[in-house]
Amino acid sequence: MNGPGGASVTELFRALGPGLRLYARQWVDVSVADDVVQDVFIRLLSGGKVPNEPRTWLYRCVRNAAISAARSTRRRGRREQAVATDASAWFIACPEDRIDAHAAREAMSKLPSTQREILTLRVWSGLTLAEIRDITALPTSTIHDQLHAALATLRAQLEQSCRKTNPSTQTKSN
Amino acid sequence: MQENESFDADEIELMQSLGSLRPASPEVSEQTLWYQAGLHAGLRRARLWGGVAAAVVVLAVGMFAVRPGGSTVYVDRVVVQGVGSSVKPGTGSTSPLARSPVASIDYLRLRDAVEQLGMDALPQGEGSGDLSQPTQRAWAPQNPAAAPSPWDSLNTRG
Repeated sequence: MNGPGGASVTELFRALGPGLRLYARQWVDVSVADDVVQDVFIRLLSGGKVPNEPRTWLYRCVRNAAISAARSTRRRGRREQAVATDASAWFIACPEDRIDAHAAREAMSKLPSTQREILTLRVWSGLTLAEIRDITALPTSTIHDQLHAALATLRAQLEQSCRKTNPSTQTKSN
Repeated sequence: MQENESFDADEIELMQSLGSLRPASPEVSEQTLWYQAGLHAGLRRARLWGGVAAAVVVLAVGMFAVRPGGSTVYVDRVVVQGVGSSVKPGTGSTSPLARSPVASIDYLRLRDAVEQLGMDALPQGEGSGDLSQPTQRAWAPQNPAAAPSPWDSLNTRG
């Protein structure tokens, strides 16, 4: 089944699957995030028609499904806390990474949910501000401001963790 | 990336550094995805046909239950009754023995008498018919047409 531009669902799954899973992880844990992504792709496959903007459509569906899944549990507060402090991998750690994956996850977990969502969509999904606006239904200016704030907070968090792990750097810089 | 113009160099560099981290892939294979999609579509189709069948059954039961019931039709029965006849309305019958009401009553009386008294209760009627010895006629029927049947007496009595 091909969509606009000849992109098949399989190609979409390969290209967007990791980003969608990371996006769903903002609300739910790993297993539920996998289920959410799977359900959305099943809906896309059984629907028989790929929408005109499959990327935006998929992210919007994953967002709605993940929020619904998070709401469906009675222990929502405990679940959100567990998701935020979930130690399982958000990223695949590689030696070539310019940022430590664990530190990045720690820093991201301390961001407000809106900022974390926007940052995820912008950085790891490569969406434009207009596409993020379509998905989150937030004004573009708000998205822009939230993204600036998220980057500033993240930078501060990463620098702080860097100083903790490597105190000699701090001494030398001082 | 015109949108990057609204970010300074440090922010762009930070975003590029963060972007170098690769998110973990879903633990779902493409084969599983296609299989689940096929299963989902099949179940949906089966559910559709099940719904259609249920609707047809409900419709049929509804039509059977709601159909206009057979109202009681009263028909005036015309009975032709002769003067002095004891025929009562509603006792008509198509039985040959019961065509005449008197004959049917006689028959019933005769039947009851035979049940109680046996063959002796049969009338010793006119003619040569002797019902007490039926074998004689059975073995040597002289003229069956001429031999009157005891039933004839019942029919001629009325």
